[in-house]
Amino acid sequence: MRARYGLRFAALTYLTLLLVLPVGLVFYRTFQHGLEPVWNAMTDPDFLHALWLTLLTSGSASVGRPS
Amino acid sequence: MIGYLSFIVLIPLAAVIWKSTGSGLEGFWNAVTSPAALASLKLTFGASVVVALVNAVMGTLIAWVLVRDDFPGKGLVNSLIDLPFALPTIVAGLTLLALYGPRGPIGINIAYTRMAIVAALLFVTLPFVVRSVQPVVHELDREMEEAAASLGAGGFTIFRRVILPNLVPAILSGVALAFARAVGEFGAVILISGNIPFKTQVASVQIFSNIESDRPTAAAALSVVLLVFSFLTLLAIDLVRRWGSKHES
Repeated sequence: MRARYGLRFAALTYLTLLLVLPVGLVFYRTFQHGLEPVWNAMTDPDFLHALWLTLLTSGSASVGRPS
Repeated sequence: MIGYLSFIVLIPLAAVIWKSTGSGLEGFWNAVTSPAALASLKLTFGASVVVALVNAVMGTLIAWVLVRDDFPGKGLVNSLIDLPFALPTIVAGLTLLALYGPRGPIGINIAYTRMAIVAALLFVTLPFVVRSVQPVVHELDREMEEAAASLGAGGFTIFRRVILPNLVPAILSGVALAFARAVGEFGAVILISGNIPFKTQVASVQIFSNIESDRPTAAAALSVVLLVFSFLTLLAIDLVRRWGSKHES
């Protein structure tokens, strides 16, 4: 029984330190100063163009791929 | 089909190999054995070996917990495992830099160290071993473990003699995939490693910097080394799979 809790603790600690905390912190920093800076970043013309280019190229690649 | 494959994969690969010997075989050899190239190759393979070993242990452990243990939120943890595959690798690097970088909230700063490279590689390779071991743990015959226990075997003996032999092919194939990925990883490493030549510059980033500073032959030569290694790893994975399926029957 004790071994089971030990393994669970080890697995969850590893995932928390490697995945949950880093990703969580980026989310936190994004919305730290409210929604306005987020909105400004997401409506920036450079960003919008980069996003459009990303969607266009990945869309083309997945449609053009022979199955 | 062959034509398509040629244009997308084969011809570019051939071009890289051709370019790497642009100044003759000697030029290739000099580029690959230059101190900077050797340092980056050593770092890349060293870090990848560490990452592969940690993955072998932690990936197996996580797979085991996800199948045999039960706790609230297990479903969520299970879906978290795939996050590194869904996330662009540059975002992975960014998240680690946010927590373990100079402006991190916990006062641990590993940015621009080899430790950071290993952390970034662990992040992006997490799913490989977990996802290859998980179904095998699921299929394990519990009666074998019960039989071993009734014959007086302790927990560790059961794990080592009954459970582990069944998991080894899956662990090895996950580890090989993780290793191959770690050797070639670029996006997750570039932000957090600092790319200091001779210290924290991995091979893929050195290829990039060779191109940037107009040394195409050196870049191509390093690429060929990585390419050969990918082939060898693929070969190893194939051998492990064959061995695993022979083992089963």
